[in-house]
Amino acid sequence: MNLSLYQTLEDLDNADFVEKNGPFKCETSKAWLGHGYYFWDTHIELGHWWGKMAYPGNEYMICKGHAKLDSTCWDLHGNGEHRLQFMEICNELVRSGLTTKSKLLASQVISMFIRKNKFTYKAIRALGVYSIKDNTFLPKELNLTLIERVRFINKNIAYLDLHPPIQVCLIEKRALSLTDYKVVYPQHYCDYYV
Amino acid sequence: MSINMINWLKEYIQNTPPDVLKKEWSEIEEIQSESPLAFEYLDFLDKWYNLHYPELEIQCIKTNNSYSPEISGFFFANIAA
Repeated sequence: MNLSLYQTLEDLDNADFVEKNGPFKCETSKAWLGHGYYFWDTHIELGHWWGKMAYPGNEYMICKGHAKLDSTCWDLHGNGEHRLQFMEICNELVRSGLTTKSKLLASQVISMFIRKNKFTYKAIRALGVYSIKDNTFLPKELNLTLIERVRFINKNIAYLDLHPPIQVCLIEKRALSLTDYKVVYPQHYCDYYV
Repeated sequence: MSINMINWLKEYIQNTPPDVLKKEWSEIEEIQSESPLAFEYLDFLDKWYNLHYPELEIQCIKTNNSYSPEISGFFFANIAA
């Protein structure tokens, strides 16, 4: 399956550098799927929402790349078996006594395998959740808690069906055959704007 | 590939000395991340995708019908005994 992926960056008036050297890795505390190259799947609207949230008052740019979803991707969104396997891993970690259900973070699950070079995938695709506690993948101005978010989901399936906030994290820069990484916003950076 | 990861994890936990495991896991826990809780995330996915998955029983010591924070210590104490 072909994917259109969008990466939001701060606009430092360096579009040429960005296109030549991108995509760019996230190694901050926001890297909840592990350190990697984070993108929004399909919907540029999510890239805009992230730009407004992550760079309030500053300008941002959005880059688009093309990728191919293949078996090197741990697809926690599109593959139910992968979700079940994630759950089994979580349960195994709790069974071992290393952690508890109330403490285990999603990022720790992935870190465990990456640290031991046993993470067998090159990318992860998952429903994007910035933080269960505070921010949400839904527009910040809605300011919903988890419970309200679920109710919001139940009431607004149509909205969510149109813009499901799926994130793709590439562990390697060119995973999923990423190509054609280009600035697509703002307009004045685009090649066709002459 | 995920099955290989699960199998590796089970073997690794089984074959690694508990103190080494605990130390390694402590290092992972120190990495601060704005990450959702794994089980809360799974519950959320369950609602989102309207799926149901079997509740897996987790072996642990239950005291007073609640999970004791001493579980981890008890687990490793038994391994050492």
